[in-house]
Amino acid sequence: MSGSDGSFDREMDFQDPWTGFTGWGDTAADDVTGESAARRFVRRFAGHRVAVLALVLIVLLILVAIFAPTIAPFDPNKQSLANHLKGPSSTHWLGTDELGRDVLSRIVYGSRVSLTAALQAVVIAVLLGVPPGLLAGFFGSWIDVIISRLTDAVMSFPPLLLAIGIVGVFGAGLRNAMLAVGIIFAPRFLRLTRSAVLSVRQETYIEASRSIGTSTTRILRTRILPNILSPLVVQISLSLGFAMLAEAGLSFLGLGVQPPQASWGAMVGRAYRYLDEAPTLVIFPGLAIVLAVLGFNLLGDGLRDSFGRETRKGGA
Amino acid sequence: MTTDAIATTAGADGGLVPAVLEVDQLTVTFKIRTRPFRPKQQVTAVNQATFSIARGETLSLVGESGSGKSSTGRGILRLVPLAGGSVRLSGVDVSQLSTAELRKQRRHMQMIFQDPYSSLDPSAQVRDSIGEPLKVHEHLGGQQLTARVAELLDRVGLPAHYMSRYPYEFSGGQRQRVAIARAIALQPRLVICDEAVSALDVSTQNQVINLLEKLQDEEGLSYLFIAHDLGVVRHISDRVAVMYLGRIVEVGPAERVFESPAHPYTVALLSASPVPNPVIQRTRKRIILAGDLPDPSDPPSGCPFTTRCPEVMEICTQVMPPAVEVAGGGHVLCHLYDHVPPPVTPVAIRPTEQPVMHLDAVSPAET
Repeated sequence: MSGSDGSFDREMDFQDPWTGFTGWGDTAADDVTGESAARRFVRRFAGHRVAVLALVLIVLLILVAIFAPTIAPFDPNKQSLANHLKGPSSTHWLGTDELGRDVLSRIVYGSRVSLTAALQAVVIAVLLGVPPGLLAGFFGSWIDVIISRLTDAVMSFPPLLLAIGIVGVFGAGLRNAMLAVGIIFAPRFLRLTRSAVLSVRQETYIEASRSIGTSTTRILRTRILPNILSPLVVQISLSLGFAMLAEAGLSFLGLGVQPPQASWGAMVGRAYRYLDEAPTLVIFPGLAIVLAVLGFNLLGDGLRDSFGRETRKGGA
Repeated sequence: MTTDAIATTAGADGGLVPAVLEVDQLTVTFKIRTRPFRPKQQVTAVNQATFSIARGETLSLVGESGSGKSSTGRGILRLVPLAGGSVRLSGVDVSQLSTAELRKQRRHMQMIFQDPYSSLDPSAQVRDSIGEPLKVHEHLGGQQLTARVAELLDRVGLPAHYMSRYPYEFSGGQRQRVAIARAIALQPRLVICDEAVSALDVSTQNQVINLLEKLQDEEGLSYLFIAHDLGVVRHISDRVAVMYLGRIVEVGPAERVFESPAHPYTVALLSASPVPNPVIQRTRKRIILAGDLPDPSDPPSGCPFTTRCPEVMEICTQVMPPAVEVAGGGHVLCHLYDHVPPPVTPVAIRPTEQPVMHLDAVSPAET
């Protein structure tokens, strides 16, 4: 939409368009402000170097998880007691564990567990937190009171105790552990959604939609939800990091994945017993956890900065 | 399309013109906690407002801030709950409709809001904003919707390819055009313009008003034009209603109200409006009303204007004046014109409600 005359016609709003009006044609203004919201977001995000680096790291991590069987040099569960607790070497780049299993292969396969577990926990948290948050924020009054008090009750419960309780009832295993993490994370999503809805529903465009005759469910779906999406996306990214950490913690305690399956937390959990003999056993999976969590957090920060609403242009 | 317009009302020329909107005794109240830890107080924002608007007519609602203009508009659209009275749109009593029926009727009455920066969803493309009424009421989508939106954009003087843009890419005047396109999308009978041009600068105001008048001629729209800029009101209105403290104190043809205002408040309001002629502006008499609007949660007894009225009489603090016909059209609610006052025993005016008012010329040298 480049301007045919090349002039930047800022004044077009101040001319009377009804006398001899033939249309503005192409104006240079299109070049200046004709940027879609998505492109503006990409431009701002690309300027955020740390966030781009974090995104590359996470994409890499996802690729490793997908192509784990091709990348891993050995079978992650194949034991070789003759080669146990070996340091890094040319065959076993990151050494072997107490049963002689290749650490690199286990970390590569462990990325699958860590990623799917984090995703599962966050999906549960979003499903449990966002819809009631929407209702509480939009309708207020007694609906808000009931939902908010329930949230307080969940939040006041010690997280670890809740996790142990759920694993105790449903049995040990990654799926149940992540259900617990999801329940623990849900109140954050609920409160975030509720407060975002509270500010959006005051806007005139909500009243404008209502005056048109739009139904409440449609207003929630088409007007409220898109306008609270950016803080939610940021929270999702940050929560993925925390969920990964929670998975590591629970697996370390034996509440998560069960042997022989590899997960980063479980690897650290087993390896700390051999800390003086083979310190690398703890360091490498620990490093993987640090990198992944850092990646999600930095990505979240970058997203938050890039989503910020553009300042108003022009004046009325 | 307004074939079911059965109700009629006396138009400005005295003939019978079908009424699009009939508002009868409309009352809107709010419960507001004025001080913490005290029970909520009832505030009557609109008190028994009665008026009608004919097809193709523009009725302006004027008055100072807090007089209940916007609440009247929102009450008609039932965006705020009604405390009493009825609103009939082409004979359909909107005030009695169920929520679902009301949603269907909303297509006949639309609103243009004051601030074009907040009345459009910042996350939605213009296509979605203008298309919303079409999606909701006519279930349009895809190419049909795009074609209708393009047509609407064209009618408000914007290029069709602007539909894929976001509100932040527009100037205030362009945004208000988008808001207008959205309001006329369903060919409504009534459009309530709530300070629709107040947020725009003067030259843009002019264009938007011209656009509103053009659309009125094309579609036979009726406007309820809520404004405080009397210059704009005089230009656009067929009739004017003056509000004070929730009451409509005077209604009449715009010409008559501006040339020979009947109510003392209208006189004061008109004298406060600047005249675009420096010589006249400097020498003309201005009436400066003392004090502010009384507390709407504790309105004065009798006529609401008693506390500031220069012509206040004893009867004014006791009895709400009835509507009296005014020569030249319309009516006024003021005891000055009420020639057969009901017999009332004289009561001393309460000391706190002494009328305070200066009726003198402001010396030009002081400014």
